[in-house]
Amino acid sequence: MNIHKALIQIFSENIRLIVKKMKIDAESLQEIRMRVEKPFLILADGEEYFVTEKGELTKQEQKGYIVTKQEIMETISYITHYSLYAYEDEVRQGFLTIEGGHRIGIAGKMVMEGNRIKNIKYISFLNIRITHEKKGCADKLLPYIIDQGRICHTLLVSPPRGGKTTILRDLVRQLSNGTKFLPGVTVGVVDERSEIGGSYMGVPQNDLGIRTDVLDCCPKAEGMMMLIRSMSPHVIAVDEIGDYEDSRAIEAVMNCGCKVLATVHGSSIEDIQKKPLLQQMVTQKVFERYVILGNLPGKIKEIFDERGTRLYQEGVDLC
Amino acid sequence: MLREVGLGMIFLTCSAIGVAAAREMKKRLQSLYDLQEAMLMLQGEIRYTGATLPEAFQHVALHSAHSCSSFFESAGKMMDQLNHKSAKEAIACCAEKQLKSQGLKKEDLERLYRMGDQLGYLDQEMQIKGIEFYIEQQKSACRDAEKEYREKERIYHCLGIVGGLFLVILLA
Repeated sequence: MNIHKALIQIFSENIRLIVKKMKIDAESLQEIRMRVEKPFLILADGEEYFVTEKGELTKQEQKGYIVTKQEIMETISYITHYSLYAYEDEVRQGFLTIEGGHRIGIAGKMVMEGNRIKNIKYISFLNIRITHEKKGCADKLLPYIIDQGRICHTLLVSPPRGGKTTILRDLVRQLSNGTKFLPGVTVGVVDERSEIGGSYMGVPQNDLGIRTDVLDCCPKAEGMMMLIRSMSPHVIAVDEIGDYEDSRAIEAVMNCGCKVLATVHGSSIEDIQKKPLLQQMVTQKVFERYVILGNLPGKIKEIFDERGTRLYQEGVDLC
Repeated sequence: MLREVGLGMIFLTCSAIGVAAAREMKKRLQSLYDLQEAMLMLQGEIRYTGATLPEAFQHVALHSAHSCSSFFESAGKMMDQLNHKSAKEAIACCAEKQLKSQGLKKEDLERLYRMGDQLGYLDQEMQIKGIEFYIEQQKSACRDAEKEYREKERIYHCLGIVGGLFLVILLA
């Protein structure tokens, strides 16, 4: 499968030609990295490759095409449709989402206003993270999070690149469309970083199901309460909970009778118990299921219930 | 008889040239006003919705006068396709195709290109200020064009008729 044309168009002219020549399965492509005066790099199937001027993949650094500052500027201009001003908020956060739901991470010199980041100038580093919808990747998980016809409050735990957002996305899609365990329910998604839906101009580019409403680029805590008031969801999904405000909003959502699907960075149940915020949530048995993802992207390592009983272990089905 | 008809034709043609020249001036004046109005809309799109340039241009195309709607539509689409290195290039390319036929002079198009050069540069405030500056220049151009039109409309009409009469007398 070729790389989608809309994705190729975001690159500067020279790099477009290189990307077009690249012989790579689009499904295996995970990241494209551009750094000023450094070789052009891609990550595919967990392996890093340098890309030559002829679009060949190599492990030899010196053969990699050297990206210039001008090419990064040109690429930024295309990514923002010549309208960097329209992406000020996203740039401040360090990333923006493009058509297709792909996420572009940016770095450079920060412009500060007091203690607050005002903007980024001299953008010199780009990380294009290719979004992949893996429909069906949550199939195995569904029977564990649906208990006697009701959805359990679930926390997905994995390190970065562990596939928690991909699994959350598929869970949302399946719960929204309906599964053999449960008919479809209304799902509200608070997509603070546009990662779940990959929304472009307000429209999710990833399939989130037919009964899903998305608040794009909205702060999680605020968004959860907004959804409760406006869209009356049965389930609310949020990615990467991180502070006490999120935790309070989650509890408020639960008190309203909604189910919560959330994700958090971590590698094990012990790891999340070390974090004060999560320790409190574990102690208070806020979540009914803890899904720990393994080292390979999207692989479920363990599933625990609220009492800490292991329901599933990789390779051994205990349920 | 044929001679008289021929002379009549010459007279009418010369008069029509005078009328056409005056109309061309009026067309330019109207295009300048339309462009000014469309730029006010563009400024609003950027100020209130924070739209990107391709979006803003295409929205303006839906509400602007016929004389410039095709320019805004094609420029918006062209920017969306990302085939040009800058917004200025896309604007210049479309203006050449769509606005030249609207009676605009070289200086009018150059003013537009200069504004296009500033679009996309820095923050939202800069875009608004850039368009504001263009609108100010455009207002002044409209005033000059209107004054010129009022002064020269009758002259062109008269010149056409007098020129026609002169030729008729010369040939008679």
